[in-house]
Amino acid sequence: MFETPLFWALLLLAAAFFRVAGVERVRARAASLATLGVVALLSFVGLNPFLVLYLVAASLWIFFGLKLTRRVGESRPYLASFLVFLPVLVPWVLGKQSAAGGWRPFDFLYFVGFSFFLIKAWTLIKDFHDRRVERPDLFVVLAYFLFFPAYVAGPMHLYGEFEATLREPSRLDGEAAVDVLFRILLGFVKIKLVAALFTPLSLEAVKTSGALTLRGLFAGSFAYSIVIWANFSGYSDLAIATSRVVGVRTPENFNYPYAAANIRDFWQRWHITFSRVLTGYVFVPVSRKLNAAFGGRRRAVLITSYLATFLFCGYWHAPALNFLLWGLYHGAGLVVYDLYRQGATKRRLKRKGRPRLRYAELLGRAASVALTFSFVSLGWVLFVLPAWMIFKR
Amino acid sequence: MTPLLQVITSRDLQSLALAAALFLSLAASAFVFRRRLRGLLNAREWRVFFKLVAIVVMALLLVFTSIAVEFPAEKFIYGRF
Repeated sequence: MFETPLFWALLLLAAAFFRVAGVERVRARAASLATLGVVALLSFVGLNPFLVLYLVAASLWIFFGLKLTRRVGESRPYLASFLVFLPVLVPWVLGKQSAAGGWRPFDFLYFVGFSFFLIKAWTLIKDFHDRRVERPDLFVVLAYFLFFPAYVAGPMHLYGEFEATLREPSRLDGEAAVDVLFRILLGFVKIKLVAALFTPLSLEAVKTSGALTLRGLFAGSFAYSIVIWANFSGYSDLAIATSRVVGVRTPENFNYPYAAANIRDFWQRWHITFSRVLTGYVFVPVSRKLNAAFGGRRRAVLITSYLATFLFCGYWHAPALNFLLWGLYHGAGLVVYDLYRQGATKRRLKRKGRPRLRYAELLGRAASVALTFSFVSLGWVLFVLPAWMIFKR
Repeated sequence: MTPLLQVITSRDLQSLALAAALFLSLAASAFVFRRRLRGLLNAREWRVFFKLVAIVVMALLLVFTSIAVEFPAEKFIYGRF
């Protein structure tokens, strides 16, 4: 997307329009961004007009659906949320399953950006029924869903932060322009140079060659760690920088993920705008419901909530067995870490008063970072290779 | 896709070593003259300055990368396009 001249033309057009016409009012800005979003989806994103029409209709349905279900939502928020969410959820599942099973009639519903659209829809609906969003505006809702720099692969705004950035757009002065240019070039260097350098050594190459040696898988998974980070964080850099050109602040998606000292820390640094949704909009509601039902079994609730959340995480990425296994792998990692942490807190309380040596702490931290990085890297084997290839091995 | 990683020759390694030496000597002299440099620009201005330098370096890197991709080693004799 960022390589098409049309993207840059559209971006500069929008920036010039906002600057010259002084589009200060929130609704006017939102309407312009939504219109540009439709143009972007039809042109360089390459969606067919029927799908673009569906996305616009789904955005409108969510806006009016929220208004229609406000009353029901006061007493039964989950029922109201699912009523509004169904017209997005059902086509998304149909599309995913069709792509996995090769069902011709619905495979057109498996299209670029739909998974991000789904998450944005769910967070808006949930925020509305939990009263974090009071009165969504029609044009802001449309701009929120169709915001083109972040449509294809995020980072994903929450509705509240998108509306706030439209109210107070970021200014593009000299220093900000240097920042934007720096970030755009950094994004391209990550994608064009770093990722391209390591791709021939990574799991992608192992998958293509089909030669699954233990050594190849081991080296390939570490190289793939660099490839996927460079590609994804480079793309996020580009989305964040280009959003700023049209005055929109887009949240950060990565915060040195491979410097994480444990798996929980990793998920707070990796694909941040998705993992905050996993925490706040999947894990918390699931564990609350389970706690209400099986209050006494705290450990069982914790394990089930983690596994359910990460099973969804795997399915969200792609409807294939290897992605489900990858989700379970991370879910299990988080369960083990959480149980270990509970034990470690007890041990620390017993040991209280005995000072630890500084170098021992540093060494411990370095070992934790290395262990977390290795755990994540080896997990990419499940992410990249199809299940039949892994089981064959 | 043409793999970016081509054959690395001793000539490439020489220029890499030269670049590393240049970077280290610049960093060392910046450390030695840090008081004078602090008087020259404030912290914010230095940040902008280094970003501008990084922009030039990254732009050059991208140009060289595109050349490496468009003219892979097998299409020319090393050093002569």
